[in-house]
Amino acid sequence: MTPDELADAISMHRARLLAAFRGDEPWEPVRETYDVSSLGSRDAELRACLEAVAAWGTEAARRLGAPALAAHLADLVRETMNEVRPTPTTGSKAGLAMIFANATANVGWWKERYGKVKQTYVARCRHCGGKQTTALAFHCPYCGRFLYDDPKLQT
Amino acid sequence: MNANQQALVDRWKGFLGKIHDRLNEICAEAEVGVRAIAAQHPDDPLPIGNAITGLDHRVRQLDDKIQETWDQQVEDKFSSDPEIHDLGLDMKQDAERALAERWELAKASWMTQIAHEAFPRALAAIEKPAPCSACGAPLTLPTRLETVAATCTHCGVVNQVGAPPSVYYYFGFCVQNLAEAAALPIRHAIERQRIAADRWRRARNWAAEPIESLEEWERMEHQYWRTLAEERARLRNEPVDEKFVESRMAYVYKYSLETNQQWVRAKGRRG
Repeated sequence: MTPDELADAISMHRARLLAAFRGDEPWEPVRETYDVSSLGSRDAELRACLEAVAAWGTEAARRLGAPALAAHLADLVRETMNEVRPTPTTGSKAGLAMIFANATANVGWWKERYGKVKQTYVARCRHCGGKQTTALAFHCPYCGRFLYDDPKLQT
Repeated sequence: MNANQQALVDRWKGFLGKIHDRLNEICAEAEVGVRAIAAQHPDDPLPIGNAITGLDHRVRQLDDKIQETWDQQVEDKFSSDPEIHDLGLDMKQDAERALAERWELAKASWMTQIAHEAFPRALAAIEKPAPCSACGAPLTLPTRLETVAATCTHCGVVNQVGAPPSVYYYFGFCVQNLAEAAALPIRHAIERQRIAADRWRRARNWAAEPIESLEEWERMEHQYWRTLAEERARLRNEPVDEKFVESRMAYVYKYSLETNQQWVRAKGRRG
């Protein structure tokens, strides 16, 4: 498994847990997949499942030597739990509840994608996998080809 | 002022007071919501921005309500009595200004508090080492405030290292809000100075505004943009962006001061 595949797998686990938590599929079977027994509160169960994913992912990231991914996993539980907490409600006198509900409605969709953006990135040659060794030099130091050429488009 | 005039003024004052009370209710409720969103989505300006956009719209509706009521129910009554017509208009304008200032100060106060809460998170993120994504060795970075290319001294690979989200959040979103909050009293003083200048002209059969008053406006605009730039520079520990101040002032000259014939005659046009 490559670091990118691991990142995708973590993202899939997270998406599946969120979908089940929100009722898109039965929660109990999903929870059991993560070896989490009934804790009486669905919030606590989701947290336990996410902690299991984070522990597994952190170990896998360590084996793969992907420290950036491990750093991202450190925030997985907190950020996901923040996302599923109910929208802040306010008194109804000024009738602002709908504004706050709308303000947070699509944040998860954006985070799902934003969460995948790595803070540290190394440009690799798409032909031979060689890594960039000189800033602003975009030809591979090993095979000499342009780092961002798409090998599939080469004849 | 006779009894009829006083009754009309009191009714209008009562209505404007109710609008202001309504804004106070919105502010009280909005503060709870905005701060809850900031706590639930730390380091993400999107939900707060969405909420503020919605709240701004709600507050604009109060402004619209004042205008509609004036147009449909009040103006005729004040117009039929020239002695108090200007008073009715001034009350409306003062209420609109008070509404805008109350709302902008409320937002500035919440954003300042949110920024102060975000600062320790940004500092902690800056101090966290950034590992090379190829070999994991810690990278030496010239700054953590923006994306930089850093060559790993261990394996020689070039890493593009972005600022952590909490750093972007504080040094981008929060710093801008703090700078705007610092300069806000000057913006309010400018708005009041313009209203006072208009009333001065009205009282003199729309005489031209004295050049001294226009120079005062110019000075305040410059002070506003300079305060904004200096506060931003101070918080980011960077030199003041002089070009930003110049570019904002260029707009002030082009679209405000140079539309005034007195100013153009006295000072000419720039560029």
